[in-house]
Amino acid sequence: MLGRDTVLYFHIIIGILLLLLPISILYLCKPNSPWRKPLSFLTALCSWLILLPAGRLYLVFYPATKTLIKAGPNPWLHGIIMETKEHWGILLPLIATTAAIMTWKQLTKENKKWWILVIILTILLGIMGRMITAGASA
Amino acid sequence: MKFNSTYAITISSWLLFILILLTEFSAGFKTFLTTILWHHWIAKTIIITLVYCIIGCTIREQPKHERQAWISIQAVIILILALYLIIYGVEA
Repeated sequence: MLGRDTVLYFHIIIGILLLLLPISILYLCKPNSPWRKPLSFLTALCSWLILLPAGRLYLVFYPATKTLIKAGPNPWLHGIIMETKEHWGILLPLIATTAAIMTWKQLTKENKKWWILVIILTILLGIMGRMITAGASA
Repeated sequence: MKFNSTYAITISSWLLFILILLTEFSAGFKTFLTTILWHHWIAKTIIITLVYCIIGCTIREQPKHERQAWISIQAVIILILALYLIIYGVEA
């Protein structure tokens, strides 16, 4: 069985991919580039894959962290940040898949804002994760 | 077969918000989800994924669906945060 740190590294690495891939699609690929479709497929795939380490972290390792946070000086880190993160995390694969399907359909004007939403949400989820980790150490 | 991702995300995002409301305000419903699928978070993820796939495969896409989807997803994202700010504010 993988330890907490290993699972966390997978979670972070896939999260970084979820930043880099949409940025590549939007800003490094020309509109008619043959790379757009495979990159969009890969991004959608990563967005579903990240649920695996996320789920393991949340279900197996987070309960102990939650106890520390709720007993500490910043219980809102669980009540607001983690509760929001766990549900925004469910939306992320849907948003990425929707953006990917639009890319495959070559809806260039429409898909741009969906990819930007993937980027913004990924950044926010990453910041929230860091806040929770830091809060547990406080 | 064409997949209607925009209508699918509209319905599934609003369904997620409803499921969140139900689990936050009904301990019985939360227990029910935990009973059928091990944990309420797993249950929500599976239900939403299934709904997204089923709706996407069954409803024919229309141009207005993209705009509805865009407004819906933003609204649900904001509402989820607002809900937990309110719940935490009330409990604190």
